[in-house]
Amino acid sequence: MKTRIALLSLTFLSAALSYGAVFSFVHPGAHATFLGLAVLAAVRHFVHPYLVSRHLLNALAVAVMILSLSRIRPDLLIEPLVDGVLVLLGIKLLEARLGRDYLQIYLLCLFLLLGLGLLSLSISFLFYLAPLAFLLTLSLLLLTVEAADPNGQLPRRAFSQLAFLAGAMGGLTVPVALILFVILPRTNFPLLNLLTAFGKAGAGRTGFSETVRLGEVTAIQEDAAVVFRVQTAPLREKDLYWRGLVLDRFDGAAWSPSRRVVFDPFESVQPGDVHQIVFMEPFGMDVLFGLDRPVSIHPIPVRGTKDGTFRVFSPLFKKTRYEVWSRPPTPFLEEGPPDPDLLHLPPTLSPRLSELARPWTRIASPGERLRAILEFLQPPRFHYALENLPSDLEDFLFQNRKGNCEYFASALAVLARLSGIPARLVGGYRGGYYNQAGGYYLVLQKHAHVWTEVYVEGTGWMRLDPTPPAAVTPAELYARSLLARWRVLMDTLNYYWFRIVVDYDVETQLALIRRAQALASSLSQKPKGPSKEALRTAVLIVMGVAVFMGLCLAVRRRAARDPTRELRSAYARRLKRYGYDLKDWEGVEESAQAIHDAAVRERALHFARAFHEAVYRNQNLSPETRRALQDHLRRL
Amino acid sequence: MIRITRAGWIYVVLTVAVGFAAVNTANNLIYVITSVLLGFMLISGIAGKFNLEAVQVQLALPDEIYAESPAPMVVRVRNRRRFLPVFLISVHVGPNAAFFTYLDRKSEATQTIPIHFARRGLSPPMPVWVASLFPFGFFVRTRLVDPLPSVLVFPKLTPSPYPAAPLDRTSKGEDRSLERHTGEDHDLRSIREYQAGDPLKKIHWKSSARTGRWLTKEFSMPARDTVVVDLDQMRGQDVEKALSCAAFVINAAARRGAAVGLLVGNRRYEPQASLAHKRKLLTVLALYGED
Repeated sequence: MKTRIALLSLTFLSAALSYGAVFSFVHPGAHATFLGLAVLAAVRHFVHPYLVSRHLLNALAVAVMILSLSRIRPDLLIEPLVDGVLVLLGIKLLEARLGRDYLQIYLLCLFLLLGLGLLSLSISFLFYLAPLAFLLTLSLLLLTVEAADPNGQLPRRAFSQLAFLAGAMGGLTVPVALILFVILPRTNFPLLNLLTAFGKAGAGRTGFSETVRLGEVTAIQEDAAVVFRVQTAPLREKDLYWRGLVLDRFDGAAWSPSRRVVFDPFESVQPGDVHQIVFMEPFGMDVLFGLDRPVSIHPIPVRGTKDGTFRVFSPLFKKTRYEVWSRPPTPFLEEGPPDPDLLHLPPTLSPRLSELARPWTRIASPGERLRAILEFLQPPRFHYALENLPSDLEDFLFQNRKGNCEYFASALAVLARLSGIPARLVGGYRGGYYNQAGGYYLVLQKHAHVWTEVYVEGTGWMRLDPTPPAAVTPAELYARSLLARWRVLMDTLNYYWFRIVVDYDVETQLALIRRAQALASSLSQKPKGPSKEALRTAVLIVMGVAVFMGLCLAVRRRAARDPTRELRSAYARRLKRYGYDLKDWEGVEESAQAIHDAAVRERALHFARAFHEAVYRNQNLSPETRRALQDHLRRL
Repeated sequence: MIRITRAGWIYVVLTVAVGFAAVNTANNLIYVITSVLLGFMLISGIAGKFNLEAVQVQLALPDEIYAESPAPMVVRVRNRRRFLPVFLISVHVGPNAAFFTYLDRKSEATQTIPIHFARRGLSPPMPVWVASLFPFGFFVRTRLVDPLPSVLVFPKLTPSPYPAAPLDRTSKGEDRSLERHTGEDHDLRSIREYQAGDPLKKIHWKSSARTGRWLTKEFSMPARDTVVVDLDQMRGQDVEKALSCAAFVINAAARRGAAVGLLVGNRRYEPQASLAHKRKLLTVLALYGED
């Protein structure tokens, strides 16, 4: 079979596979063009060769690329590119002649698969990747053969052997790549900060600090770095508040937590509490985050306060894993009445604010009071904005009525306090991208958020988020970009890397060693054999394998058996008894004549002549002749 | 030894660039790509190495080799592997190469390639190596095998008049006198290895095709002449030319079945009509002035 035909067939198969992968995302026009080109290509390569102008094809390719680039819109990014790549693939199939044409086809196939990954946003494209990788490896092998021996031929069995090699090489590459992946040198400090989008993952990261100044969260939100990943079942969108630190002291410009050195005991976990495993990135913070409102954290030592803040004893500078139990329903109760400080406001606060709050203080019910304040803070009076933020709270409330979450939350807290309701700010994260493949939430600095908590007599603490819900937050903006979509998909690998490699620390290692030791000692102490059942199964399996291998060998043997050869080697064994060696190149008769003992020589010649007669003259070794020859041998 | 091809350089540069990006960004996706690229390179290197190591090479040269005329060398390649075939093997002997696309497991293949020797006398040993692009054409891996030992190269054959009767040659340089020997001469006496200058029509095509070597028919010849070549008498010209002419005459005489002798200076070789004798005389000519 011609190598070229096999190579072309494989190339068409790869193209078909990649086409199938993106089939449901392709524009009808691209479908038609690709199929038309593919049919033309198939006719050209397999049925009736004809000439195609390369210039024409190149011009067509450029036109296709311009067309698909011009179709790109912010909300339609990948589809036009996939269409373009698909048509290019058709053109290249038609053109395929030189080695580089084939390489380009393989690259286009990979691009299509990448497009599938971006379009479907699932890891399922890896299942397309495996067969495509196999096909491409095999094609590369054939391409090398074809390039070295143009228009050559290979026997049919060579192709199956090549396929086996391609499979073996692909299969072996996976474990080798795994080992390399684990041992490749890693550093947290980029050598060159070329890619700022990813580069911020390293040093110089900032998270929430102890004080939150107005406008400061915006700075955090500019960072696309991952803060933590939370392994948990999917949650309701409205519950996605990741609680961090409680800010209850306001000095007119900034909020900060009051330093109470209190070690409140953990609440006990109740049924219905949401369990999460958090993988925290190092940001130099001592606050641990969890779904609002966390009640218990394991297994790292923490001190928790009754307001639902959990802190470790020293800032975290390495990746950390911990488990959290949270109780999402709100309102919730805290032990004891709220601190009177929660009504405190700085004396420097502008009197205009008290003026503003005065009408609300006349409302008797605290619930009604809060509703009125919330209503006041809603659009169209107030707008969500990320730029040109007001200079302070007064500016926000009276002139420049646009701002981000801190302005809204601060305004609500201050107005609540002015109207006699204890209030505080909570700093944390809102939302997160759920990764279906990994089963976890990915939370970025972009999700940084501040909301308000108020205490209503008889009800408890209520979470109030005055930030307009329809606001386009930085996290949502980011989610629309291509980079982010790709990143969320690919973060699965980071997640598993974290779980498998980073989570594998000294303690786990020691635990493993201890377990191995325990196993060894238990084995040496109690030489209790495996159960009868297991033993029987094992013996059966071993016997089965042995019988199977024996059968295989016998079949091979049988196929390889050649009666002439067997007779010859039997003769050689006989000769050996008399001290003669039958050399490979020596004839049977020749060797017989070289025997010194006349009687033996006579008998050997007897056999030799009969052997020659049967093998060389008659060229037919019937069973009778064979028996006769064996008789001769026995007499020898 | 490994030489990197152009495609290989592209691959290496790509891998290094992606590796740098991985370290720089600490992004695991890029680490995965780097490790796959590296792993693929490693595995393909190992596959290429095993492919090359499985090959055994045997070289066979014809009994008579003349300077400046191509000698057919038989390259025999054997795949030692029990389960896997061998692909894309080229065997290089000096500047010449034989190429084998595919060798099934436990099998062998032969190819005949012309090999040139420029000078008469003992040729220096020629390095022999096997090379392969397998599996992806990124690297050319080579392995030195036993060199071709030094061989004796007889002088170039320069046609010169045969002493007994003027030599009549066809347009192809074949000895026409052979065509005229009719009668019982057509009796096939034996088949021997092809020697330079044998007429094409005397090649035994069937046996050549069967064995993969060029074989020439030899016919019986009733009458015998005697020819003695006196090198000094041919010395009107330069030594090399004289040696070439002498070699031609000895060869021609032997082909006619004539007994041939040689006079070199004061050494005398009695005329005889055997192949061994012919080769002895040619050896004397080949080594003339060399020791």
